[in-house]
Amino acid sequence: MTDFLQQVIIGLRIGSVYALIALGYTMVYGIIRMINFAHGEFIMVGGYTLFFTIPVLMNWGLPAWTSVFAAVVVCAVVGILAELLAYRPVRKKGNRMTALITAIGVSLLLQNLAQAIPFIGPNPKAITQDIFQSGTIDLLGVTTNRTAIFTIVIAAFVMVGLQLFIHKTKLGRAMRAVSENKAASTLVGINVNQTIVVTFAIGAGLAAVGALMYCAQYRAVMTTMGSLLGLKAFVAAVLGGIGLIPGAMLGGILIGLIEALITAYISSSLANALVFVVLIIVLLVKPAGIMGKNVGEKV
Amino acid sequence: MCAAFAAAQGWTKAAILYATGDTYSSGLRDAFVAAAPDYGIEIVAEQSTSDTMAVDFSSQMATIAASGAQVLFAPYYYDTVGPKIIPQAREAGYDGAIIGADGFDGTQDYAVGDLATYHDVYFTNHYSPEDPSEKVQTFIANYTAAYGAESLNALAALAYDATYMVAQAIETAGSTDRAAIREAMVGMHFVGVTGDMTLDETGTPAKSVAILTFEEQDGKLVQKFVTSQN
Repeated sequence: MTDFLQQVIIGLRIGSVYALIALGYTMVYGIIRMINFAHGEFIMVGGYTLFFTIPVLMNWGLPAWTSVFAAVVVCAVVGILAELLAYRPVRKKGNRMTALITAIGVSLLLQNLAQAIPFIGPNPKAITQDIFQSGTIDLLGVTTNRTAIFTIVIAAFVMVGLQLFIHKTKLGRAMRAVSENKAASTLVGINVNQTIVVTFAIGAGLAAVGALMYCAQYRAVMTTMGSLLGLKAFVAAVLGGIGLIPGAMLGGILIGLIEALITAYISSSLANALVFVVLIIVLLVKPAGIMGKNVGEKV
Repeated sequence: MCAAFAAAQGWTKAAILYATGDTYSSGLRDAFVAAAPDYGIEIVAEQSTSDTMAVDFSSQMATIAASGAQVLFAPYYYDTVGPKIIPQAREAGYDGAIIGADGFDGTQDYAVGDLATYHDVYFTNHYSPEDPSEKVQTFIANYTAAYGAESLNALAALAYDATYMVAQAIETAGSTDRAAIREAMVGMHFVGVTGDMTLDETGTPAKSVAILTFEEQDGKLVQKFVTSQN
């Protein structure tokens, strides 16, 4: 039983990161119907920002995790630039397929650009500092590290905050309106382009928070770190129902739990493959994703 | 080699963590599993990832920690071993030894957090610059004098040995004829910087390895020579 609980905590920890990143996919999809394949690279940008800012901030006497604010800002800027320089011009001229290919292009560009910059380069870099307080704690008889607890709590906090933002603020209401009908939103005086830019900034900012959790747990950054993580988060978004914010959260947590439990009880090397099998089965039964019927919630 | 070392340390219960999709990792795993019974080692847990670039080992480590293993054989590379495998093993409550092969060389540059978690980590390598044997120390002194210390690694030692191996074969053959040199290498015994080795009929050397560990020194992790193992 303790073993099982321990695996559940591991699953929740991995799942929280997937959920945060899946939110970025789902928000952008909800608003412009485009899969932003460069989202995984936003995590990488966030990871390297952390790598470079943590030593600086610690020199100033601040705790290491405060560098997440720098990462959020840098990621948001990169997200906005990707929208303004690549996606918006293409969206005006092309169709949804060209937008999708552009997203893959931006992904490859960011990855290779990072590798080409001499002080980043293709070699992984270790984050030697503890981001959260290190050590383990006992919770209900289960030994777990503090990073896992921080990860789960921060993710929950961010997700509640995002829900409040979407439902209680004017900008959040504008985002929901644009996702439902762009033309009608323009009619009622919503600046559609500005709303899309804000969506990109928030999505990329969430990727930066995900990068903090990744770095806290895995202690290293590399230029391809966002690829598989981004893919899994994308799967999580689709599993929950792409375009739906609660769907991304549910999908992320589910993928994390499935992965941890498969690794522990079925086969550790098949975990990745079986996660995708689960996705296929769910999509066969419910093509719109687990929460797919809930169309009114689209953002 | 790792199995022999584990047995020499008195460890009888081993866990294995390896990457199924990587020939280096799964090849070493196969060799370890094949050798384990000969050294009286019982494999109590076997966990895997699909490739060596995996980042999350916590589920695997939880199982390994619960298996009661005294030693964990984890043939991965330094950039995974340093920031991920060792810290995640310790976090899962595994406190035994962690051993690996030459892929561990370089882990000291990827050590993160509390360096005390890097205790009881051992790995096999071609040679150690700290090996006190005269052969090794003479090589290091001469190499450093000629080329500096920066490029002095296992590959430099391997190249040095390879050259002298050919030289010895030429002397034995008494000629520089290609076929004669090749014949002279069969069954040849060679004592080099990277150990004592005997070449079989295909020219594959059975050689001794250096066992190394990590130690904290001035806030940094450094490699330390433990012993050489035949």
